[in-house]
Amino acid sequence: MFSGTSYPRVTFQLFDVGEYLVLERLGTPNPQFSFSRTEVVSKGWQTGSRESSDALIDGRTTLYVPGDLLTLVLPLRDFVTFTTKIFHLLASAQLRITMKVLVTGATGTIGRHALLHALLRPEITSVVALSRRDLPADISNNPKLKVIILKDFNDWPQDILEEINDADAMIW
Amino acid sequence: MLKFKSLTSPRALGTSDNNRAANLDYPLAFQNSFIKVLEPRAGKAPFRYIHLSGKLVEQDQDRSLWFLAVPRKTKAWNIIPAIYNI
Repeated sequence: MFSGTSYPRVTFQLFDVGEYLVLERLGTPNPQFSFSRTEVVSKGWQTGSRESSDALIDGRTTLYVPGDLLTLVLPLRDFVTFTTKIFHLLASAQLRITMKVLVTGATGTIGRHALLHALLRPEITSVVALSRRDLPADISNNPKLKVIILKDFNDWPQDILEEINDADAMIW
Repeated sequence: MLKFKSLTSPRALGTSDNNRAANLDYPLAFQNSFIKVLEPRAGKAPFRYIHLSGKLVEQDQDRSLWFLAVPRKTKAWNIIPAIYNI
């Protein structure tokens, strides 16, 4: 589907194929980028690999295997967003941005989603959920996450405070 | 600070029951304890406190509101010191 020949192309090596497409930029040591399928599809980004040059990721079929080269053909309006995102991610990979984020209310509807989004962000390397109750096992198994059970939010014990005093942000 | 024991689990977001514990006391207790132990930010970005308060919440404590005035103001009360640097 490389019909728009004037559109910029960006080539990556595909790292992992799952719900998220994890891409590794050729020629750079480490940085990985991930885009959700829905993000790729909703923006109308056309994708193709060396093996199947006119493949389109549509969420129904997996046409890619790790190691494939993946070329994204982007409309110009998205290219700016895309490159900005890449520079942002490159910067965070090279500067080794590490963020520790505290989250409360993780058992509630909004808090749970705030927590899940925080866990997905590559810049956020550690998430501490301050909760009155245990979280479901499928969330609390995440290696980035530490759950601290706090019975009374009016009373913050010193040992808990010392565990979180190097945090960079709090989502209350 | 008032000690407040709620019978049910206190909920904050999405409520308009003016639950003082969840909307005001707990965040303030965290802020007051945390500010004493927060590591110096030596070159790092400032600590970000993001408060998800809810819809129609009013930060301006002097404004007259037509409905649910007290709960809507209470939910923003705990961030007033940060906004006005007091």
